[in-house]
Amino acid sequence: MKKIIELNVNGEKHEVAVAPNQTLLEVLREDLHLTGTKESCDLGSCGSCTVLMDGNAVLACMILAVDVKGKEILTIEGLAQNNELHPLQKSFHEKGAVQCGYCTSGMIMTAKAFLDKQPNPTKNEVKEAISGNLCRCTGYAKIVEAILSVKQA
Amino acid sequence: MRLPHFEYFEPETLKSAVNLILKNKESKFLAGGTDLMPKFKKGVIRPEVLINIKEITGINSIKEEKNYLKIGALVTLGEIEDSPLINQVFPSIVEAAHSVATQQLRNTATLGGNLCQDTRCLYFDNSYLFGQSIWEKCFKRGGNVCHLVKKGKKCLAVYSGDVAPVLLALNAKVQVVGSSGKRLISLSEIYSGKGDNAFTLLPEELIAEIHVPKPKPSSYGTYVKFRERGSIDFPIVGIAAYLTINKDTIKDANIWLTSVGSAPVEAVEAESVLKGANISTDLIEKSANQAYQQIAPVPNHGYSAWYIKEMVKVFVKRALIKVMENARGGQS
Amino acid sequence: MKQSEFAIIGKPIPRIDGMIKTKGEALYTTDISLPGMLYGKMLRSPYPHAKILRIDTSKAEKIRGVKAVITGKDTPDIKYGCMMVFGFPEASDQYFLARDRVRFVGDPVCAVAATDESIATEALEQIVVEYEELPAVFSIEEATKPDAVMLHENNPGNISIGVAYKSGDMEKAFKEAYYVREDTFNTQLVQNCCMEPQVCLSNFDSSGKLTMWSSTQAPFLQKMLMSAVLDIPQENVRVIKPHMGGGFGAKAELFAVHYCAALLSRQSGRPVLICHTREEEFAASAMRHPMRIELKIGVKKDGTIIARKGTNWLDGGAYNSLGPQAAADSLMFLSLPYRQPNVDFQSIRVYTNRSPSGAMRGLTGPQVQLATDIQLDIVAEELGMDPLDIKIKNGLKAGDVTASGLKMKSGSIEECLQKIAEESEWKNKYGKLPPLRGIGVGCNSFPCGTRVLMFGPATALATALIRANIDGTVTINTGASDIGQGSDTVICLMTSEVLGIKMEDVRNMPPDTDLSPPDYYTASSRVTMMVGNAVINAATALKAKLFEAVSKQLEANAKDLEAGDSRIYVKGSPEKGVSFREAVEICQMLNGGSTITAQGNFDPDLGPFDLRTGEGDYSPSYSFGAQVAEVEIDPDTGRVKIERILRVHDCGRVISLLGAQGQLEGSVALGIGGALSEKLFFEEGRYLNPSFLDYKFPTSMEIPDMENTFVESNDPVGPFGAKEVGEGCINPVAPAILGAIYNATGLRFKELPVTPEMILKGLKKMKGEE
Repeated sequence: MKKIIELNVNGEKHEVAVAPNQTLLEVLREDLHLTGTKESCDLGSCGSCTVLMDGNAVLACMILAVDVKGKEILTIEGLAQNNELHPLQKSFHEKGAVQCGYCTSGMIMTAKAFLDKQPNPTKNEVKEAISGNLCRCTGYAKIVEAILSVKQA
Repeated sequence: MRLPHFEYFEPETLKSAVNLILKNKESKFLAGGTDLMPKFKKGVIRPEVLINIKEITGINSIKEEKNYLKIGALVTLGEIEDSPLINQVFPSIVEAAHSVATQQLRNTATLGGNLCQDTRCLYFDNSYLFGQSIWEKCFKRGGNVCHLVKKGKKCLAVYSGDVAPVLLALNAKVQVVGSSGKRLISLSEIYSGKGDNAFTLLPEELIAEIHVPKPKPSSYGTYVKFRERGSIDFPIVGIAAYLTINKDTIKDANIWLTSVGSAPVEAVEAESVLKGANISTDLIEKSANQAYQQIAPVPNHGYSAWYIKEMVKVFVKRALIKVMENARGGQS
Repeated sequence: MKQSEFAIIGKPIPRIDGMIKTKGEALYTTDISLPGMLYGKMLRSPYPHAKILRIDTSKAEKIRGVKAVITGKDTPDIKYGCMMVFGFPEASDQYFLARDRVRFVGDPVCAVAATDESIATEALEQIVVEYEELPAVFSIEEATKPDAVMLHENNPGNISIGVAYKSGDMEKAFKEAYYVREDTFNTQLVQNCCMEPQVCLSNFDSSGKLTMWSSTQAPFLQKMLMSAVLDIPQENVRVIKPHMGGGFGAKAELFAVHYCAALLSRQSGRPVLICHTREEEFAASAMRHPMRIELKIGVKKDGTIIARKGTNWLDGGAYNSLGPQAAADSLMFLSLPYRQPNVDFQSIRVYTNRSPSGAMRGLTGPQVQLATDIQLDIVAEELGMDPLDIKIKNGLKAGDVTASGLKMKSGSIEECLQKIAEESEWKNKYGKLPPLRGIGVGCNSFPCGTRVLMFGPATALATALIRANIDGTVTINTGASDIGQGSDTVICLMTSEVLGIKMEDVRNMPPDTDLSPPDYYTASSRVTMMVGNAVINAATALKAKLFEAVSKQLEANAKDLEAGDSRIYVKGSPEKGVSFREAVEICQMLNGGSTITAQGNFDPDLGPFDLRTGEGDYSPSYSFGAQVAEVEIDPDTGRVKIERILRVHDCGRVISLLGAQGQLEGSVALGIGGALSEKLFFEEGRYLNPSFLDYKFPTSMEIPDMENTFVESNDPVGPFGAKEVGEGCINPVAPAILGAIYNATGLRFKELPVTPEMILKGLKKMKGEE
């Protein structure tokens, strides 16, 4: 049985009919067509589907959509404000932190939640902060550099 | 990967949660979901009803009382990491919480769920495709074979929660709610020691609150986790040590291990060597050796029993050294 | 490097798709949905080897929302082999949907398409398949026993493919050698682990035309293969490649995903999307070949190699996949990167009851390089030499031709090693570090594209079409697939450099087999070398047309013109010229309004080449590289801490600086995983840890600081002098780390991965505690 719930995503309220067995990831991608959030392992181990829930980084594949009512969700699509790239998006682009791009959305969202809490991190803190986001292309080097450069900016 | 259909409830009181689970066979409580969801997605478990307990009020806060710190079962590991109170009073709980999985999972995983995290085994956790469809049912699936140790007589699935050993070393109690009301029991009582049925709680029972006794003066603790990668992984071994030290004499010692058996294990011999003794390098070595003698791990997740046993010795030692350092630094 | 030589080449220019990727806007295959789209799923064999006795799909067919169910008997009786369309028709051995027999856990048996994924999953559970289990073989050793069960009736001894090359007088050479030794090395299964699994969206319309949106490194190869296995005309297959979440080799061929999506779409009349779950990805996507490498080496007293005999055993899994290429490549890697006058090499690929091994970054290079470098380390020690010196002594250099005919055209191992020795302070460290700390060195040489003539001799190795647009932009169309590594950016950089326009004014067309010129595939590190040369030639031809037109307008000689800053002007007098946009307009006016186009190709004469023997020149050129690892061992746990990794890579010329650095860094990370932690537990044909939780590929915490240095040897064939940078760098990672472990502990490992447990056991044994 589907149930109509109100989802607050990227500052916009959506009424969506969801079945209990739908995850937040499925509803974001399939019902709200916010396909920037990616599915990779779908078992909570890779970080590709990271979104922010009330400011905290969480995995959209591990959360039932029915369980999200009343929470504020931020996805990669909601990060740029007034057509201005978020500083993390800008630095990921400019520092070459993007290769295939499949982990990028989750990586940036994790980094955002982290920098919001810890605006002035060390290199090791950055490495630890993104250690729940797997990347097979970059060896993480340029990702760490991109996040550190936002701190300095 | 899609979840099959199930019925879903969001009770607002503990009582209605318990009633719902009593009414529905094949039902499960859902809190953070980080242990349940992967198994549900893989088809390792097939509940027909999920009872989301996160709407229940009154069990999601951290309270300081005279003799106890009370942590609601719904408090997330992320909240524990960020709690100034717990950081101040019990940094070892923070260490353990911080070492769990990844930040994203810690932000949804609850303390209650972490304590009741199911035992793990590569054979049990494996899906329909890779064996479950044709393998003989193992103990944990209600059968009577073990695939890990052929001809094994019991289930050897491993409990690998990180926070439990710390709370056990702190003598924490848990308030359990069930059909006949509330009861307060020692945390150690919820672990059966069986791999296939790891908890003594009845299906309708759930942990509502964790009560941690306030630290004794001059007590120091730590949690040391050894894992393959610097993130994501469960421990190969995890060691919680909590010592009361007066000058150079150890008054009391609590050492609990995780990931070495189907329940957290208290290193009793290692503790008793320490109690009443003066701190020395030899003493630490001796205590670690006692733990090594006592613990009989099973091979799991690719690590041999030999290696895990060796690591018990190494990390009990490292944990004790760390506690001593904390003691010298005055960090409780 | 002269900074002024190029306008844009070699500079840290961000990639062309970086911004949309950081905004989550880039469309990957699973992000596309079509009206009426169905979701497909496959039922896979739970047995490693079995006969199919009966399949009953009747219950599944009745489920509401199920729109198509297919089994092997609904498919044409045509076996697949990746190389069936280019030179190895006999290597076809696989039915994508099993007809009467399954050969690995995960071998697809049925496929369903339904209106949503949970219905499709439910339908799979309602399908009944009866199997009769057969004996199975799980390793090279088991498969090659005389009484072993045969996986394929035409392959006695379970040999899937064998290739060999021999040259010189081995017997004499070994007799004359001062020192001879033999070693055996073993490497493990490694999963590609693309973050985006295999995925395909197919639409078979009623005109009989199949359109596939496919996450593939090889759109044209997929088109040819799909036409062959479905027995439909090639012109009826169109493959479009959206943005891709990694390839690494896994996506260089055709899989059941593509096959079933097409057939389910044909049966249902609706578009069908199939995407592997992560577990299916482990179960059935291409993996690195586990290998056993037997090496015999003969050297002079001064360390000069005079003879080498090598046998590569490749564990191929149940089917050939692109096995012939893997076997041939492994033969080639035995020839690199050291001089060996007398050689006797063979590669034997063996069938086992496991998912098929295929391509992964470095295709057999990392395995063979491990053996080559570690054996040389041992030889050096036996002769009292420094391992770095013996590698310098034997390293190939420009002008060398290997026994099998590989022609080195630029650079040298020596230059890379000298540089890395300096940067790593090798001489101050080797043998002088405190206990439990060590340093090791590995080398590599890698082809810049292999010569696979899948389109036949009438088609060049690469082709580029270019069009000048009236708005002053140009469109470049090559058919090459950017799989995430950044080749689209390289193509745009090169176009921009030649035409003197901004990179933003270059439009790169993503591959679409209906619209793009034929491209072989993104594999064997060919795109920069082959497509890059075609791009330069196309852009140069376009420039000539524009110069011709502008010269008339300016009343100047076309030879005196120059392009730069989005203008075309008289050399030395920038004010005397027109904007690039005006130039296009002028050119069109003079050509009766025609759109100005040009093309270029790459088709050098490299002499004869035989993939079956490896004889001839494999590639237009070869990169060189060296890598040094410094490690510290925890003697209590056996854990290896990599302190740092230094890389020197001769890529001829850096085209995209950020891209080239990213390739090195990514290769090193992949190499570290393969050397130390990545391991699939395999029992009775089943993987026990097919997940990112239990298959330990490195997180950010495992990657040390990495330092990159590029050598620019300016290759005579390469575009702007460039050679490959995408794959060679992975080959020396494991030997450098294992060398460092030996240097730190005295423990010599000849297998992968080297786990903490192995090191601890070794240390205890040395101390007599075991």
